[in-house]
Amino acid sequence: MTGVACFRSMGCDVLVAGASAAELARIEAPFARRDATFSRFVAGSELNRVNAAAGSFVSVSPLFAAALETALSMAELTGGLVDPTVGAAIVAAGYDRDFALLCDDPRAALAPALATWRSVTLRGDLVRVPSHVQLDLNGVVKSMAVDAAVALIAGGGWVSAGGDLAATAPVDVALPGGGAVRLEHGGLATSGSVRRRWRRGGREQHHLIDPATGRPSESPWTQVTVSGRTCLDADVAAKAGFLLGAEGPGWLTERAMPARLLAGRGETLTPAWREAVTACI
Amino acid sequence: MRGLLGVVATTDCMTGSRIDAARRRAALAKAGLGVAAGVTFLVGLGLVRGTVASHAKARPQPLAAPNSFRRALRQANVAPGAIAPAPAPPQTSTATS
Repeated sequence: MTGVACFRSMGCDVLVAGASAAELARIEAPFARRDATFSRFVAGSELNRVNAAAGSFVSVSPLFAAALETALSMAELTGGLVDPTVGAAIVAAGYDRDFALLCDDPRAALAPALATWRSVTLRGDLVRVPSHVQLDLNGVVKSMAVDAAVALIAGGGWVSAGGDLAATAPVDVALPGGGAVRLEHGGLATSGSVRRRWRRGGREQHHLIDPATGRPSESPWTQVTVSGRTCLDADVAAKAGFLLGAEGPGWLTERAMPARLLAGRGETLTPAWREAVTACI
Repeated sequence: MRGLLGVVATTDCMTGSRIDAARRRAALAKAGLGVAAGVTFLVGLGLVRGTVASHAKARPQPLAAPNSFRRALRQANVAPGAIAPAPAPPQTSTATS
């Protein structure tokens, strides 16, 4: 396997191992395209165009339609926990600019904007979101990009975007809070509230919105790490496990997902995780 | 008498040929009616199959989920990945991004 290459996209470092120079160039391009398409902070992005047209049908690119279709499927799968219509709620919590530019804001958070993925209409390349709804597809786009990227590495390798991994060859991965695990193949992702935090109106805010309240989740978990068949599976399961709070381990266990949930100084392992890697923790 | 017999014979011949002709016409008419009935039946059957909502308009296909549903179903099921104890120092890390 060749060395590890790095570039920046989607607000995080993207690491690529095992790719040739030509493959690396092919991997960078779709990341850049997705960044330009789905960023809330790129003026003229397709996401912003769709949100600006809320209330009426708008034609979208196949890339956008595929991401939205996946996001809606994941919302249905998780009972609406991983919901692509939390865009307005994230803005209401204060995350209204690139995270690097975010600073504490003494003003109170805006009233939460409640929305549901069921209100979104997708018919082929036509999308309509209700006038009060704003889409945020970052919940699935980054992991989809990681999965697409690793598929471009012919000889086996791995891709990591801000800690969300997909691998077609074994890779040893450090875990939050200590320990390590070998990802043989598939995806590994962590969701939590320890990073991307800010203060608004004197209260801690973070980017994982509970769709039931429209406010940042008050989950007891700080970080949830899950291994999935793909990075998308892992990422969605990690978010769902986090947002479900005390019910998260049960939800993950029902789906036989290897998962590790951190809360304060303690950790909870699902049976699938324990059986696979207890020896290394 | 011979003359009378001749007339009767001639009349018999004429009657026989008219009866034969009538039989041929009747047979032709029967065949025509049969063909017309068959054609009417087939045309009617075609119209019914083509216009009545409860009749199949194409060859029935075995029941199967459409591809779009299969794709959605694949996407709508998270599945576990393959992990194992790490035998070497980590090459990368996973964390909240």
